Amino acid sequence: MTYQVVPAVARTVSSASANEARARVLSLYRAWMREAPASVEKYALDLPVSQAKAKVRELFRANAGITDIKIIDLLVFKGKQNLDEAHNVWMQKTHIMRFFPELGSQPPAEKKTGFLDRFYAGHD
Amino acid sequence: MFARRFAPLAVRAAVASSSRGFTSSAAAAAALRPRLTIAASSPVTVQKSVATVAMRMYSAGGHALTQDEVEKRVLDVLKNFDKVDASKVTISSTFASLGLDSLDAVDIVMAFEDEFGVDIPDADAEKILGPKDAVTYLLAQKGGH
Repeated sequence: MTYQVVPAVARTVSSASANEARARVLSLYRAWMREAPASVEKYALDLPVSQAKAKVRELFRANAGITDIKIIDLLVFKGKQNLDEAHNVWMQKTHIMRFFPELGSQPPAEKKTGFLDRFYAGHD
Repeated sequence: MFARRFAPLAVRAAVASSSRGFTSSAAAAAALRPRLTIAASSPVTVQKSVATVAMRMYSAGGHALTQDEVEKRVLDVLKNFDKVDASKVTISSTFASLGLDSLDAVDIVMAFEDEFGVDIPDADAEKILGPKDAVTYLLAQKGGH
């Protein structure tokens, strides 16, 4: 399978229409699907490639209901940034594993008690 | 020693006088070396009475894809997709009619890329809405197998 070279510049874009935004999303999805098996190799992840691809699918589907074009453009930009970082090995394995919280490499979030701790964490 | 110091002169002399004969012993040895010619296309014939060994001449190139073969392989890829009900797949169905959304369509087109060893760019992939479009596109590609 040929591997397309991904240009390493994520630029903010402003889509003129929903169709254009949709095309960008699908293009990003295709690029991530090509990147997933390469990243499993590069970072020596202990995952099967199918699990990496399933994670990409899951993260894209989580935002499936969004209709605001500006938000879609912003999410595409962030996804493209992550893609550049994964492709060029600007991240390390620990950063990639943050995409897989269910695998338990992150410490569990402490439950904040007390007014100030909850205030700092963002609860009013 | 004598030969090494004057080797460049000998080579030049050999090149200049190649049509008239060779003046240095190295060039003469090269002329006597057997020439190896490989026929451009040499079909391998095996006699039936001898134990046959399967030989693959990969350099000879594969056969061109036929419509039936491409259709069968495209439908097989589609039926093996776990979101698709295999009994509903026909050549004229579209991905939408099979209950697949646009992300699934991208997955399936990438599966076609893997199956046929071709690279389908984004602009062409968006136009493939069903197995019939895929068959038409894949038959038009050179280098597929």
